[in-house]
Amino acid sequence: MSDTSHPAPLPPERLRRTADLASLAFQSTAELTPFDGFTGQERALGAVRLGSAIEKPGYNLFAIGQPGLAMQQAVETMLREASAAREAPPDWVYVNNFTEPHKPVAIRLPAGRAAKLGDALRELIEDLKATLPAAFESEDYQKRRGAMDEAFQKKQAASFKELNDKAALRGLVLLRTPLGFAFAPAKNGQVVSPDEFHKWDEAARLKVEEAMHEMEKELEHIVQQMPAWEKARREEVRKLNRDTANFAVGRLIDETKAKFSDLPQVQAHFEAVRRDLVDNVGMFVGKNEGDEGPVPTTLPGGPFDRYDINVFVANDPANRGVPVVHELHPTLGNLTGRIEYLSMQGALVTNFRLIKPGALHRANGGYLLLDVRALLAEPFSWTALKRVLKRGEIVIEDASHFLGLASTVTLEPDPIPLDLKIVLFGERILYYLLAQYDPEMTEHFKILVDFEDDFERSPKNESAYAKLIAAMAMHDKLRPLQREAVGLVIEQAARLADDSGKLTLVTDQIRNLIVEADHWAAQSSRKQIEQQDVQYALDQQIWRASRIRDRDQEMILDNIALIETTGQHVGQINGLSVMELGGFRFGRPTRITCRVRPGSGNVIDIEREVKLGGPIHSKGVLILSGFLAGRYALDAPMSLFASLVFEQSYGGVEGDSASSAELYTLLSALAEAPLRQDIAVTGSINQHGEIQAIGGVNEKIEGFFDICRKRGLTGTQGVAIPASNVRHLMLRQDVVEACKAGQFAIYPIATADEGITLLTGLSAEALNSKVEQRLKAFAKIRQRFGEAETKAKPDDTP
Amino acid sequence: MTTRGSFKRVIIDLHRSATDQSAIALASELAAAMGLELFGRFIPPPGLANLAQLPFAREFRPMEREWRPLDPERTAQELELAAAAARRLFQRAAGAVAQRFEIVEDQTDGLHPEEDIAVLRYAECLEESCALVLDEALRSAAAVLIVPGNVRPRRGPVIALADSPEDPALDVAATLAEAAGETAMGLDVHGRDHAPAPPGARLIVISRHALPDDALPALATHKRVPVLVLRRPV
Repeated sequence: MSDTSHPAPLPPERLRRTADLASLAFQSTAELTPFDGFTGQERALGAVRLGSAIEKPGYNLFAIGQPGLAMQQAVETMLREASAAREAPPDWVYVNNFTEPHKPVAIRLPAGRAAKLGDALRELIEDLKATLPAAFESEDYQKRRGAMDEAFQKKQAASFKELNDKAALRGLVLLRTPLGFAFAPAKNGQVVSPDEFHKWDEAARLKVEEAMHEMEKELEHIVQQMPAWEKARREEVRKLNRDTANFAVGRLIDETKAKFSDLPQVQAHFEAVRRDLVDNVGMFVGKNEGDEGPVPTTLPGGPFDRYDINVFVANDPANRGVPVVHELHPTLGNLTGRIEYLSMQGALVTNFRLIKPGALHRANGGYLLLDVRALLAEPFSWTALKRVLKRGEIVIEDASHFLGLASTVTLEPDPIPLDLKIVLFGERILYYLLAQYDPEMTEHFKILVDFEDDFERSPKNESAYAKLIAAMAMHDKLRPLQREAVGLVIEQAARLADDSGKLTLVTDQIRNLIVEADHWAAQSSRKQIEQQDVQYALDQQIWRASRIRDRDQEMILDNIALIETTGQHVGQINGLSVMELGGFRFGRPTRITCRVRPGSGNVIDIEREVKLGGPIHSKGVLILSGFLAGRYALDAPMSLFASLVFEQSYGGVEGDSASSAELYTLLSALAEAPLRQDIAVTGSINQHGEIQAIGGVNEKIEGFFDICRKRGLTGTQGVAIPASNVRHLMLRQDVVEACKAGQFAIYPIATADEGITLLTGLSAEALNSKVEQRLKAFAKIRQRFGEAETKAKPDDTP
Repeated sequence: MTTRGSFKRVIIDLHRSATDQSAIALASELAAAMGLELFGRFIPPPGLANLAQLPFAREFRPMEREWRPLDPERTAQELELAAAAARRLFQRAAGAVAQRFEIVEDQTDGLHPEEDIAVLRYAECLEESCALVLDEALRSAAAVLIVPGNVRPRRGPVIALADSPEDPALDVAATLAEAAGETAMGLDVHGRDHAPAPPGARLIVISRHALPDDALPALATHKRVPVLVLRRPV
């Protein structure tokens, strides 16, 4: 007698693992010490410790994990704790470069000194605004200046007077014409009229003419000397102005300079300020003759802004610890700093005061946290960051100049030495892609911080999770959770981990659940969050997201989508699939059918033929063919043509979780053995007929259960799942209750033989025999057709 | 005796000072403060027309550093252009004050010695003794405004250097200070031979003979402050 037994349904306690909080005595989370560490992330946190401790180039961190793992919070907390005792990093200022204004000078100052330097310089300039004009208004200056002017004018005047006197002795007079000078014959100081001149005899006229030529040479000589005299005068005035300015500014600058005597770079800047003040004293006293005036590149801003400083990075020495900066919008400008421009008279102008720091500057001396997806999404930012890391200094880069979009004069500020660690956060795929395609990535980010998605669900860890829940409630100022509520949250953590033996570390979803449960508790005027609040919050979450699922189930219940949940059919089975839309997953049954006839050994996957099947799905069907060939066609060519299809499937199909269902359908069609429609099937198969684990087992079971329940549970319905998926079961409570009541069943299946026995009620041997017989019959038919065709047409064409 | 009410015009000779915009501006400021007319005169160089008719006449042009023959027609054109330029510069520097511009042939044409204030740029008297130039100017004007070289507009009191309480400089200084929105200061210079004016004055007003003639131009140039010298019978 053949064996028609099949695996027994799973006992209810295997369908959902309840939380075990026996080792933790508490009634509500208010009694628990909140867990302030990061549960289950020892590997990642060890990497953070290592990365933050190695002070060498390239030892930056790349933290990867699922979104919602609170990686940034974990890393930031660790970095802040590790650097709490470190001194604040230095301040940085940009000052004007008086000799090359387009190259502002960066000066490093001890923390807290930048603002003081700025105040001191501004005070100095305010003082100079009063002191310098007074020096130039002084009696002494005015006398010396007046004497210079007078001496110059007298020198000029004396030269012309002497020339005039000489001319008079020669009977000439010097005239000023509109554009120059001329000598004219004169009599009694008056120019001789032409008539009178023509009356003079030839000798007199020649004498005058000769005298004029001689005097002209002297005039020429004087005029040629005049620019030199003027230049000498201007030099004298300039020297006087410089001496006066030097005297006036000297004491004030020395006093200010003394406050920064410990800073040689600042001392040098004060000397540059002194030189520039002396050269441009006209700014303070109105433009004097001999002054050069301010250099025009100081625009925009007032004339005195050239002496101001740009407090670029300021740190407070009173605050211990280094900066930990999280840049949410890492554009090139936000990252490396930028140079701003002002529009003045239609031109874009800038100066050292318009240099703005980027996140790299603000984080310098500490840590910069960046989301790698945001970083990669910004043009130029990733490559700019790598350049900064390669150079070891922060250079402000301007994208518009890279692209040639701007042709304005810009600045080349001194680069600032880089002294920070960068921590990138992102999904694993981004890390792996970068590692594969960008060889520089691993050069600059040597420390991988790989966060776990879940951790082992032991009693000890459940207790730790309870404390983590307590910490979340406290952090978000929520009501305490009752013990039973905590248990349900932990069970949900296992469900989210897709494994009854794991707890998810994607705590964002857990936090959302608690926040919503707190809301519902408040609605019911409860002082604590009870289990029913958590359950209600879960139900509400599903309800809000399940519009598509509900419509889909309606289609099945209304027999628009054909799914039978009772009876038997040859070559037809209920497979199970999972849909994920916007983070919500739900399972749904799908009818899979198979038709067979004699053929050349092909199993046609209609999904693949019409390009609706993905590669993994197609792989599953090909494996199925391999199984068939290995088991049934050992002594004759496989003479089968079979077509498999997901009925009423109009989208793509991917995954191999239906391959066992497809095999059962095929075997049913071959053996002409009807399959139970009240059992839905999931699981992939290998070439040896072993059933392998699939994903989304809970959702798949619940999807079929919902349809059966709505039609009315018969007590025979259930789902066949891979035995290796049993550990993943964290089914809804209503499914568990139905199984407990004998209304529904979950069958763990390890082999195709177990499955086919469950679905047909036939032993594997009996069914295999029928399959063999059918295949042999197909082979004979094919053989007959082959002979007939060979006779008719020697060049056989199928 | 000169009083503020007897002045009618401020006269500035533009053939020598049209490019000295600060001198015109000062003259204009004085005219506006005292409610006078600003009169700009352009006097062509006497004898230039005669010289231009001589066959060998030529001029040296410093800007071009070359000698060019003088041609009567071109010389007349250049004088005309120079006068037009002087007029334009005069009008620009004078601003909104009541003004008049004329080309006159003779230095003494149309002068009213009892009503005019003449502008004397310090640079104009360098070839001679400034005291002599001032003396000559005060023969044909009731007052002379001495403008030092490189004077710059500044704020400050209008200072009267007076040798007696009746000195008209006090009255004129008060008028000018009020018009300019400044304070007027009177300093006694009786029996002194130099001025005690503090630095930073906007204008100094002094009657002739309150100080020696040669001290007056020096007062302007040493302090770089314009000085208004009032003629007063001794």
